[in-house]
Order: sequence, then structure tokens, then C-alpha cells
Amino acid sequence: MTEGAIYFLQLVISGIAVGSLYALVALGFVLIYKATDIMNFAHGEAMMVGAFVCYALVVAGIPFLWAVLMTTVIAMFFGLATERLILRPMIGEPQFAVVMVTIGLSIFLRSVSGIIFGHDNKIFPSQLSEQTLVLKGLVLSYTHLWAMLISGLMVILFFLFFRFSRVGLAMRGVANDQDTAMLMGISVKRVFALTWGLSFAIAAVAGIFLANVMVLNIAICLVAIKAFPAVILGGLESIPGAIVGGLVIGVLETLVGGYLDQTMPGVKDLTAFVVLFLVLMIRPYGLFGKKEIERV
Amino acid sequence: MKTIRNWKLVVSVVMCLGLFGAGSAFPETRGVTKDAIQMGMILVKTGPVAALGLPEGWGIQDTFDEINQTGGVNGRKINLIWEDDQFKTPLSISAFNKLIFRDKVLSITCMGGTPQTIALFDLIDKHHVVNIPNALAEEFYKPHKPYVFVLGASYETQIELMFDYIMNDLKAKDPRIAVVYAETEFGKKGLEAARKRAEQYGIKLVSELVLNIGSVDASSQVLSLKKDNVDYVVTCNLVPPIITFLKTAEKYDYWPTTFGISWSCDDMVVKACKDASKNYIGVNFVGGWEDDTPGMKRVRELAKKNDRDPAKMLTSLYTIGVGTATVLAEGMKRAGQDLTPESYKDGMETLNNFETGGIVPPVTYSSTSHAPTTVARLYRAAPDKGVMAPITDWRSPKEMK
Repeated sequence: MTEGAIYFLQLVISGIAVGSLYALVALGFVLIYKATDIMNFAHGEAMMVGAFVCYALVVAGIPFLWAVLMTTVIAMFFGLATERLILRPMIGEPQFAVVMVTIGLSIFLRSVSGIIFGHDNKIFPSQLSEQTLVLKGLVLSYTHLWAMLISGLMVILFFLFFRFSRVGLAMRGVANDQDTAMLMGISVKRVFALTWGLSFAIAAVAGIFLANVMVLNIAICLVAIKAFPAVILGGLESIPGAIVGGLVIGVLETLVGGYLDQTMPGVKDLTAFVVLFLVLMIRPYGLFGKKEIERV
Repeated sequence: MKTIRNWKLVVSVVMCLGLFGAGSAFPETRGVTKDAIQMGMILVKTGPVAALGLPEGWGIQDTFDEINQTGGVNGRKINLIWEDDQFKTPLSISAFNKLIFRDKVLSITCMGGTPQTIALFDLIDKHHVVNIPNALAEEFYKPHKPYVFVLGASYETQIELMFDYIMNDLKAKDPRIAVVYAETEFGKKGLEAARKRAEQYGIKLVSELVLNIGSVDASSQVLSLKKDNVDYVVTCNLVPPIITFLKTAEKYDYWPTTFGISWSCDDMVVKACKDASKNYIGVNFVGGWEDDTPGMKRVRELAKKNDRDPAKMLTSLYTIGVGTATVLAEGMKRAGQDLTPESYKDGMETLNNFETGGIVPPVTYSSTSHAPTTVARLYRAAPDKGVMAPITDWRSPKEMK
């Protein structure tokens, strides 16, 4: 392979690695939107809380894998509690009001996390190997490899869940039409609760991966802003769309950084938002979304 | 009846005289009473960049507390009011107004950061607010700002020292130098300084890349630099992006000598990156945490006394905080008993090679210049010890046309 080809391929692989992290974040957004028609603006904060909880458990001496499992369970209960205490009272209220509640929740979680976990920089005691995998001159870290595997696994699991499980079908039904779903005997409240629980659990996993590749502090929640264009690109209620959207944004961003950042410094960080504008103008329902979806 | 009226008149006159007398004995000055001085501080303590403001604020707070415990400044205790601006200029402006008009502070130690301080220049001047900004841009002292006292080597000085080190200490022949900066005020100042210094040395920068705060990955930057065979990377950024950069460079087996400014010259970089930091050199205008100097010994003792864990904070910023408060308190002391914003400024301007025992280099201000020192030190990461260890003495950039 020529040097130019290796450079291009390495950028693509790095982009896929970063994109898989965006995809994990995007997945949580989509899950809630798919089932409840709500865009959760506190998703980044849920991710941050998950990362902090896992950090605290690992620092307390709990083995990493156990800490991840415990964090996922804690996050799930946290999601259930959030739904019960904050979002259930909002059932029947205008969507705008619910979105405002999630924005309020994001501010609340950020402040409370600062009080509990501190505002300082934390170095996550990473248990994921810092070794790299080198294949024909192309490099990939094991952390990113794990993120890619987990993203892929999540897609398959959720695809099967929504397609074949009763709860998954109930979630789709609720997303389609809450009144009809209720008439069909589906407990909308239970579906909402489960969705928030699952979404927070996924957010925690994404947060843990991010904490392994970044410095852990309150700012980690801002990565969710980067994942947002991925959600729009993939389609607000498409799980494969979230993954594809995340990967496309990751690859595009890295390629733009690799080829254009020298001539247009800073353009890399604009890429995701340029994509967001273009998608909203040309195909507002995204690559895999349905045409009739409503945007918030 | 007349007697009563006369008696009332006498009482009124006596009371007025009494009040006038009290006023004469202690004329009212903003933020200063017989036994206390109200001081303000605008520094981020919550939000995404709180990790920067907190240690510096703690350093300032702990130093003032220590001064209060030993009798205060000229018998007056310093009461510090810390306002959180979340690193947002509008909040910084409202905090300034609150401190001046509601809390009636004598002065405000720092204004939040580069953009906040620039936005507050007019108000600082109007209300005669003596301050040491927690930022180091050249426009803070050029042209002269009567109430702004800059402490520490400017970004320009720091960048010049990096180039001097490459050219004179490392004796690099035709070095391939690139700049990686954050798209912030200080990042852009660093970039401008790097362009200027490179031109002075007759070098063309290979590339200028952005690495923003909060970046998940630095692959495109690292791969681009590696492709261009860059040997030296001059950065103008904060600790988290530098950690991301060094770890990513290690992943691609790319080992340029990487330089960082004072905001990223911290032991935390070494602790987080371990071997990935082995070619990392930082420039700083404060003493190293482990320095065996009286000043740094005092800084460590202060941290210990106040339960500030050096492993959990940016120690260089805590040191800057102690240095800032020490210099401000000395200025107050020199202003004497008649402490006013004007006498405070005059007191600060008498500092001439004021020694802090190695916390910061000797400090000098005059009535015509509040420019910072032009000396700083270079530190190299020592992964085995987990610290940034000094590799030079205090030095100034080489004079160049």
C-alpha cells in the first residue's frame, strides 16, 4: 500500500473508533425517542453520572468488570427513578414542556455531580488494555476495539429486542400512538419506565468508555452534543441509524481533520454540525428515519 | 421652653461633631474598615472548566486565611468573597458589579480569565480595582493599565522560551515545528506568538492544528503531524487535551518533543500519560511542586494544612493562587494604614524584585509598567517519578529583532 493509502485508511479506522463512541451515546438518545417521542437533553449528564459512579466503585477497590456491571444496574434504577419522579408527572403535557424538563434535569445533574464527585480532573484507572492492535501498519487501540464491539452487539441486541420481544413490541406500539397502545392493554407507564432505565444504562456504558479515553470531569457530558448530529443523521427513531450516524460522523470528522484542518484550522469540529444542517435541510427524517416523524 | 430648645441644640451639635470626628478618624473607603478588608475574587468553581479555577482559588483563599491567622494585613483581616463565573463573560461582569456595588469590596483578585478580563477593562479602570488577572495576554499591560498587575510570564514569553530551547539548547538544525492550539483566546495568542518567533528564527511552521478542549480523540492531528515528519510540537492548550494528544501519539508510536504552556505544565499530565509523556516539556512561571525552596515548602504546607490533595488537583494552579495572594497582600501591606484603591495601587507599584521564596520569580512593578516578569522555567516530564522536573533555571527569552 502507498503511504497515502495507509494514511487514508488509518484515518478511516480512527474515525470508526471515535464514531463507535458517538454511536453508543446516540443509541441512548434514540431509544428514548423511539419509545416516548421525547428528546432527552439530559442524556449527556446521565452518561457523566455513569462514568463518575464507575470511577468511584473502581477507586473503592471493586474490580473493573464488576464495577461496570454494578454501574449499569445503578444507572438503570436511576433511570427508573427519574422517569417515576420527574417524567411521569409530565405525561399528557405538551412535548415542549417535557423537553424543558429534561434540560432542567441536565443542569440539576451537572450541579449535583459537581457537589458529590467534585469538579476536578480525574484520571480513570483504566482496566481496558492500553496496548494497540497493529495490522499491516494500521493501528487500533483495544479500548476503541471494545467500544466498536459493544456498539455492534448493542445494535444486534436491540434489533432483536424490538423485533421479537413483547416488551420491545410494546415500546414500538407506545411510540407509534400512546392512546391506541393503552387501548390495546399496553401499560404505557411501565414502557416509559423501562425505556428510561435502559437508556440510562446505555448512557453509563458510553460514559465509562469515554472516561477511559478522556480526562473524566463534568465536561464529559458535552460529548453528547457531538452525538446529536449522529442521531439526526441516522434518523431519530432508528437504532441502526444511530450506529451508522455515529460512525459516519466519526469518520467524516477524522477525515476532515486529517486533510483539511491544516488549511482551515478548526474545521474538524464543525463537521458534525455541517452534517446536521445538511441533513435537516435535505432529509430531515435522517437516513433511516420515517418521513412522518416530528422534530423537537 | 427656651432652655429645652438650647439643650436640644447642644445635643445635636455634639452628636454632629461626634459623627464628624469619627468620620475624620476613619474616612470611609470602599471595602475597608478598622479591622477588615473586603476582597472579591471571580473564578470558575463549577462547570466544565472548574478544575482550573478551583485550585487557584483554593491557593488564594488558603493564603489569605494564613495571613489572617497571623494578624492580618496591618491589623486588618481579609474577608474574601468568591464569585463563580462558570468561565462565562456575562456572569463575570455581573459578579464584578455585585462585588463592587453590593459587597463594596476594596479590590477583586482576578476576573475569571482572558476574555472576562478584557471585557472588564473599562470597569476596572472606572472603579480603580487593583487586580492580578488569571491570564497572561500582552494586552493586559500593553498599553499600560493602571489597575491591572500581571503576574507570571506572558504566553508570548513562554512560547519564545520553547523556540529558544529548541534552537539553542537542543541545537536543532532545520527543525520541523508545528503548533497545536485550542480555539480560545489564549490558544490564539500562543499561535500568534509562535508564528512571530518562528519568523524571527527564519523557520516556517509546518502546520497549525486545532485541538479543542473536550476532544474525544486527537488521531487526525497526530496522524497529520506524523505524516509531515514534525519533530517539535508547540502546544497552547489545557491539561485534558494535552493528555489526549500525548496518549494518542503514543498509540501511533509517534514521539515528537512536545511543549506545553503553563496551563498544561502540571504533574497531572505525567501521572495520566505515564510513558506517553516522556518527551513532554512544559514552561511555567511557578516553582515545581517538589522544589526545595522556602516558598514551595510553604505552598506544600498550606495545601496539607487545608486538606488539598496534590494528587487530585492541578498543583501548578494552586501554586499560582498562593503566589497571587502573596503578592496582593504585600501590596496591601505597603499601602499602609490608609488603605484605599489608590494607595493599594501605589503599594503594588513599590514592589521591586519582591521575593516569594521560589513560588514565582521576583516581582517588580512601577508606576509606568505592570508588565509581568519575562522569566520562566522549563520542566520535563519524569514518568518514573510522576512529576514535571525542572530542566533549566529561571530564564528569559533571547533578545531578537
